[in-house]
Amino acid sequence: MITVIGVMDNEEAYRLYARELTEYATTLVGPFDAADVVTDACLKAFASKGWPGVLNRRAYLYRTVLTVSNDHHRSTLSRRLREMKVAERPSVMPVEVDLDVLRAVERLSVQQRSVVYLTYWADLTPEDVAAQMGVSTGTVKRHLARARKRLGEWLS
Amino acid sequence: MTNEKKMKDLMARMVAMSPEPPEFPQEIEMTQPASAPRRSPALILAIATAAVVALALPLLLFQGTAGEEPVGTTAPAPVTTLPEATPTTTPGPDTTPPTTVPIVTEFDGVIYLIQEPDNSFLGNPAMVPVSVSLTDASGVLRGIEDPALVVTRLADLGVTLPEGLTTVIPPGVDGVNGGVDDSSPAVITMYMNEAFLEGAGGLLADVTMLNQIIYTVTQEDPEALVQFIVNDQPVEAYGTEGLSLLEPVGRDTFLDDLNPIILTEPFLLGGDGLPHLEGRANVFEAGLTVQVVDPSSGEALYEEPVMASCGTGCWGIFTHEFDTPVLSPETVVKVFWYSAEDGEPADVVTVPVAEGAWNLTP
Repeated sequence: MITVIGVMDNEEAYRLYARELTEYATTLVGPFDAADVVTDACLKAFASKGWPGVLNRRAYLYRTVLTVSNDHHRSTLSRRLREMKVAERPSVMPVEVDLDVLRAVERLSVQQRSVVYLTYWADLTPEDVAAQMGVSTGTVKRHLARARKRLGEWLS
Repeated sequence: MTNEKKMKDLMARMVAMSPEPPEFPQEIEMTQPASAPRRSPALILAIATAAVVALALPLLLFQGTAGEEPVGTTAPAPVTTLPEATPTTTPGPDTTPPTTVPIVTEFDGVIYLIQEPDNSFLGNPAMVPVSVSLTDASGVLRGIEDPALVVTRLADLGVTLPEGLTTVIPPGVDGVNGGVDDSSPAVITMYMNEAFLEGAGGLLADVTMLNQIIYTVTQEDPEALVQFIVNDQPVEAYGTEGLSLLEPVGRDTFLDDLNPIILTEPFLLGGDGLPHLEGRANVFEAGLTVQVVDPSSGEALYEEPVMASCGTGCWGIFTHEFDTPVLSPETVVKVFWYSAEDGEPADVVTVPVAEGAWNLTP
């Protein structure tokens, strides 16, 4: 992963991080809404008064994606899955979906998805995950424990 | 496959579904999503009602005059055919409440509560951390498992707190931890709503409210400072006396507004190792006493002296492990110092005893 500390323009920051932010958002809200979440998060970040002074822009964007995903409502993925069930033309879906995986991840809260992604995909330590999400290490560990519990069927 | 590999596999398959990143949003200059006003459902309903009334009123007036013959005219009245048994009431706005799915939040964590100590010399409140567990189905916590949000919204959650403990944060106050920066000491940003600016009603209550939030937010890093932000700006004037919070504040900022004995770790039975107390104190010659009391008889079942690392004008830390079988959820633990004046326990903090986290679910 690339972390740039320092000032860069919005487009540069966007081009650097858009792909990984989209992957992160995919884990948080599912593949159908990930692009919208990333766009909303970037618009929000770039419009923020504090943005010009942000040194670690990658961390800031990650946190904004998490915030926007929270606002997005946790039931969105469930709703999308229900819509898929009744969709007449499932082929219009923008990506090839892995239903088993979506149903497993659906059981997790947005925070739990974030912790699982940052731990198991980004390979961050609990301390780094905590710093990235702006929560305590204890909270990260609790989220992980709870996520493992909710994914019991997947893990068994 | 190990659990770790399965988790990695799950994430790999999730990421594999990731769509192409969206194009760089060029409309940034034109859009101001952060400042766009959000209309509440009530406002939308009010506007809809007004619109329906505005449309319906002329119709009703017209219906009311349609059958009347104009005065002073000889022209035959127009033949009008009114539909029979047609309801004449204009359908009102749909008053069915919108279907909402409340977000359920499960929280396990530590929050700081307030206690009025017995035989207090200064009358300042004591800070007592408590490990709590709660499930909020009302949506007050918005799915965010954040101790800062829980502690600021306790009054709105309608929870019953452990006996002798309270919160001074009034209903309506809302705050979330916006993250920590990389500075040293670290600065945690707390985003508060405007109700926060009103304080808690009186200078001591205002400062206690700050302490309650600061201690909760800095539980993982007691050296960290907290920057309070309202409407994207540091707080210029807070509470009854317009306290400036432009600079970040920490655990030491308002320390002398607390009881000379405070706790900094929740006291739990049944955890790893012996139950232990941990806190800070500023008492005469750093001498403290811990007691286990049988509440039915008032008898002290256990009493030990404890030394803080500093005293008589400076704050020290103290810790004590209970290697005694008398502790149980039915007993009461007290921490105090014996007053040199009259030999009585002073600034007594009563510690809630529990086997695990306090279940605060309403």
